[in-house]
Amino acid sequence: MIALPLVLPPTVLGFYLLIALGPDGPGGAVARLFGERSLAFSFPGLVIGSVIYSFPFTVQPIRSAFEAVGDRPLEAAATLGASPGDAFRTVALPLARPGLIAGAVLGFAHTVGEFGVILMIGGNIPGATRVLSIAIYDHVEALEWGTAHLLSAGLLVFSFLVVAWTLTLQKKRRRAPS
Amino acid sequence: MSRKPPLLTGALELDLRGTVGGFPLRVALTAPAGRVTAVFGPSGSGKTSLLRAAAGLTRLSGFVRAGGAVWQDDTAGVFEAVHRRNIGFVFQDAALFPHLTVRENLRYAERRNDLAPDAAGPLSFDRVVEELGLSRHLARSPEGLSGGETQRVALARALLTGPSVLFLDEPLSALHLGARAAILRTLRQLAPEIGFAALHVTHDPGEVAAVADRIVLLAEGRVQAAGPAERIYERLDAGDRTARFEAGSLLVARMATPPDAGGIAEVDLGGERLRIPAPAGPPPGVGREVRVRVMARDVALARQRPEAVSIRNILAGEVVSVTPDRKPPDCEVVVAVAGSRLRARITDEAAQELELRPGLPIFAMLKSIAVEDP
Repeated sequence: MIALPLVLPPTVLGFYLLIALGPDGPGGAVARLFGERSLAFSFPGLVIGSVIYSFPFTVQPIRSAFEAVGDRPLEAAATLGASPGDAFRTVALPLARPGLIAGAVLGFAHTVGEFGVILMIGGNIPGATRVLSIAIYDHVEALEWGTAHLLSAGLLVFSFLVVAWTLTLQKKRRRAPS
Repeated sequence: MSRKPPLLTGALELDLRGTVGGFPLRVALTAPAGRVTAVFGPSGSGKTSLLRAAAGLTRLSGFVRAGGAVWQDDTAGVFEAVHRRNIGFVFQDAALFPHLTVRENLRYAERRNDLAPDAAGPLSFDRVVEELGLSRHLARSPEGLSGGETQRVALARALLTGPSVLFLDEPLSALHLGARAAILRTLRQLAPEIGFAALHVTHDPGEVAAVADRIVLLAEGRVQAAGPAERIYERLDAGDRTARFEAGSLLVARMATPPDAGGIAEVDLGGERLRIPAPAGPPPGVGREVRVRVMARDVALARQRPEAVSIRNILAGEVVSVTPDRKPPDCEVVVAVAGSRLRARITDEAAQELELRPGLPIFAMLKSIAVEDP
């Protein structure tokens, strides 16, 4: 179920989200509580859609990190008098930290690059739901190559920095204890 | 939530049954407080399963009582979670927390021991660190420690929980002799002083000889024999169907004279004197207990007291039993000497020539004695 967004075409997911978030869907009902007509074509709607779409990219690394920690450290914590909640907080979470960071970074990067789902449920409204990746597409369509270059190069540098930062963080973690 | 008072309370008593690794396990045993009980058996005999179930890490049916508390009683529907049992557990792989320093690993246990003895108590942080020689390593990460250091930290951490039962799951199997000695010595010294019951799982006869007050012999999920170490030691190979490993006897003697210039000391064994190589480390004081191990293959027998022989240790005794060995050309002879029992392995031919039978006076010559001094 969690893996579904991995294989589903983004436009299909976007289409169903559009219906769900629209005035007649459950999203619309929630929106009315806040005095809005619909969650589609709004920033909160974009956030909800992105969370669903990027979920597997965040969950997978976190899950493998917890699997890699295994039972033994938690057993040891229990024999030292730590309750399950205590052991999770003080042993499992810190040991899974690289996976948590990797999940956050992957989820963020994936969301920044998202196109299809965003276009379907956001509608590319300037100032409200226009995101970077769609803006680049618009500029290319309008033959404004200069602006497209600027934004693309900006994203390139940004992505490079994120990758570099994650790597140093993991390396530092591996070396830090000794 | 709070654990039961740990110090100088009762023994560990358990009776557990269930299926582990495809065979039935049924074990009842008692491990007295202040004593080290070795659970000995070949691999696959259920030792580790038994230990984990006693600690509550896994569940078998039956009951477990320790330190005046009931940890498990199926008839009453009681099963205390591991973190509510007043235990220390030393894992085979130590299981130190890699994200914490040695000091933080120890403090982790100390902080959660909510009946922590006061700072001057028998198991204060400083005392444990000193006993296990960890003061130089406190700021280090577990990942940089040697095998011996790692297990010393693991033992220190388990002790800092102020356990009424200390479980040790073959923690020394990967260590060389020198590294083992430090840990065994601490265990041997602290168990009676602090009053916890130690349940030490091992398949190493040397470890058993060095540290055990009592032995529980386990094979195929059942107790084959249990009792005081000197009595059970000679049967250590009983449960082992495949290998005739170092069969032998354990003698508990007392230091009689300090080591001479040649490094030879005399010990008293029920009135008889034995000359042994002095134990490593600081010379033990006169009167102190010394454990020696004599392999069955290192014992020769004679009808008359031999004269002009190179062997230094000759004990007068009496044949208790003569048993044909599982390996035909040999037979096993048990000899009572000086209040202890010695096991000798000689050939069938020799046994017949000497006309060995129970009750026969005999002289046992000990070719070699290993001092198992933790």
